[in-house]
Amino acid sequence: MTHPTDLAALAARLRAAAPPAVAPPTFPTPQIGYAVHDTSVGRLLVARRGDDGPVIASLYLQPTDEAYSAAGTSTEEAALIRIARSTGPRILRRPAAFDDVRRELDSYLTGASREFTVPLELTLATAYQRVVLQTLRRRVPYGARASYGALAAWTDRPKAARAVGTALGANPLCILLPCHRVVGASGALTGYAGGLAAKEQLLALESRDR
Amino acid sequence: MLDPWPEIHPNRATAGNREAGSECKASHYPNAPSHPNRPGRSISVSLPPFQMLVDAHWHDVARLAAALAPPGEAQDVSQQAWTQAYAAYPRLRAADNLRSWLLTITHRAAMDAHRARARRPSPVGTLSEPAAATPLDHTDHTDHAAHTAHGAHPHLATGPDPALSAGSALSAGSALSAHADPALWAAVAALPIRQRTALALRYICDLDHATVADHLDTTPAASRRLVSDALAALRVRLADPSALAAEDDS
Repeated sequence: MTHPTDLAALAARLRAAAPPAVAPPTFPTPQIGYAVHDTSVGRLLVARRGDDGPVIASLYLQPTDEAYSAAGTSTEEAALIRIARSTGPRILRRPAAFDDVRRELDSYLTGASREFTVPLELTLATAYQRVVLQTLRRRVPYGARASYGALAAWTDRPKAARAVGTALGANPLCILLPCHRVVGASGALTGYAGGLAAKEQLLALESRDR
Repeated sequence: MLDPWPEIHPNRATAGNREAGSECKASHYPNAPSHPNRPGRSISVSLPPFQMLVDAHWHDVARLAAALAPPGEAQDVSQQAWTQAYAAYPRLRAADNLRSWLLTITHRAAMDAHRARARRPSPVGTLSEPAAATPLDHTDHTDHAAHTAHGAHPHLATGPDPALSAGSALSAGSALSAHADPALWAAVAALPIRQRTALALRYICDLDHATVADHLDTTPAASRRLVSDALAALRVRLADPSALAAEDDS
């Protein structure tokens, strides 16, 4: 009675059938929302608590730096997994919930502003990273540069230049916390999550009119 | 150095942090890597970010909902399944078969919708429920009802941009319109519910017979039979949609 080929074709048709008029799900305010924001120095993934809470992450997604790429943290998913390790997995894309962050980043990157006012939170940083990043924020203002050694000395661990470098490399709030202002003792740019070109661009931006 | 942020943002950072409530505790315990008040967390699995589930599986959930939901309620069932999944997600013990977990939730949501529909006392004169198609509305043209149901959740209305949601993990946007198959869905909807469920799980969700049997609480042999009966009925129905309305009872 039944024709195997017919049934196989029917099964294939079932496998391929798209649902009629079913839209993607929507969600109320998530625990963590994120968005992708393209800037003049690269593509950033920004994340915050809820739809208007403090920003917890600003991570480069398209690294130009080979070392960063080799670490395997260049994709959106890797960034989200990194965030989830600290916050738990309730993370959703909220492209409309980042207008203030986008505006401040764009304004900074065109040179129109020098400060960020969006609230920040170092959920993704370890205790030591917090100390280093806090010191960075306090001691290295717009347009200034500091060496890893200087930052180490300011954190009362003068021999910890290498550890400072590692802590800055793990900066979860790129651009918002200015780890690009830290360079080698010789003045060499050393490394940057967004690639050396981005670091150079940020430093050039900040040294305008100075 | 318990809470370093106040030195930097005396007003903003901590205020925003604390207002956000219990989910923000980690930042106040800088020495604990994560979840200081959930000690059990460290031994449990690390679950992927929820958005990755949505991107990877919303299409399958929508297809199963379309196959199993009462007429006009596919959107509601799909949305209900995702809402339940989001609520339950952090308590999940295993991350090895998230798709199957989502399909189970969707299956249950569809069965709940059928039960809720059956409980409604009378098709006429009841209080109108904007979220669902009226019981009288037994046509297969469910698009309008589905959209109505979708719009009836104001608190859910500010979701992610649909285009973006469909973006990264699968290129669903174009696939959706390209393979829409109304005749097939209508024929599936006309099958008896157990046949329909078995068929949907086997072919629309591509599960094996053992898993289908688990979902239906039956044996693999019985599930195989349900699927083949469903396929045969579907084949005849698609060949002549009007002829077989009476066979539903058997």
